[in-house]
Amino acid sequence: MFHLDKLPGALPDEKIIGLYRRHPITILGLIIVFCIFIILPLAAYLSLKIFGQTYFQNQQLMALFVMGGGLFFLFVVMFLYQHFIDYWLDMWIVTDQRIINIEQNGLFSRTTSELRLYRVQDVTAKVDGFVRSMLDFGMVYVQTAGEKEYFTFEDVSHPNQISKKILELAELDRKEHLEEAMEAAAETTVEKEDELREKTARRLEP
Amino acid sequence: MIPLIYFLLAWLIFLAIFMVIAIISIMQMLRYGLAHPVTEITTAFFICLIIFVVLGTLGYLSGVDLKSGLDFTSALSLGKPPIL
Repeated sequence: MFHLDKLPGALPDEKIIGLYRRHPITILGLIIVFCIFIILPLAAYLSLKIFGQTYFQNQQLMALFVMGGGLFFLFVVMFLYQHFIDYWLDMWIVTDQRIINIEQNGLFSRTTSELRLYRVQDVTAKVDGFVRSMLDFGMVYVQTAGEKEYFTFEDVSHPNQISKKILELAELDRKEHLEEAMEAAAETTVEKEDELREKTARRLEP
Repeated sequence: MIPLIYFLLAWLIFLAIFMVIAIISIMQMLRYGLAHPVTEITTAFFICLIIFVVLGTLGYLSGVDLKSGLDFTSALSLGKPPIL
């Protein structure tokens, strides 16, 4: 199992600030589907008991019903367990030096990426929709220096607090890694200059 | 007339497929899951449910004559018990 005190590629004196997962409400739909699937064989059993009692007098038919119902129940439970794995193994770990994103897609696809805090440039928290606003969960986008892609925390609780925390930690880490931060900033400036040049050239084209 | 033993064989094949996928799922959960009570409790619950359902089904089947056949045409006729 994965222990928090033994993070992948742990850095010296690294402290864990927070571990975030998707808000539990995001698996509510799954639980409802599961309940419906559990009720189905029970409803079939009850309706047969009320409307077709003769079937229960037949031991062979009953055996068939027990085998089919048992298998159905097992596969529904496994479906729920696999979706729970998908939810539970997705996590974002924020330490005082980096952010680790662990993402599980299905059973056999797993992505682990990390980002050093001194490379963080912008952090955006986004809460949209009625349910998200009421329960205070949403997205946190972390924009890194030198990379165009966002590092995204999906549907985490209290996104505003998380973004504030990341910005504070990034500020502290930047002070410690001043040289690397300057290099990262320079990379971004060069990239932005190139983009600007391309845009200008496109506009000037007849 | 289809002997019940054929249905039992089909059930065992599906159960074997289920077991393979379940073992892989449990391995993934235990390998990559965070060392946390939720990881352990959900996995234990999943295993207990499997054992309960499989043993319950086998227990019921132990009291059934598996050599006897099942006639679907009469079994599906409404209101009448199937001919065995």
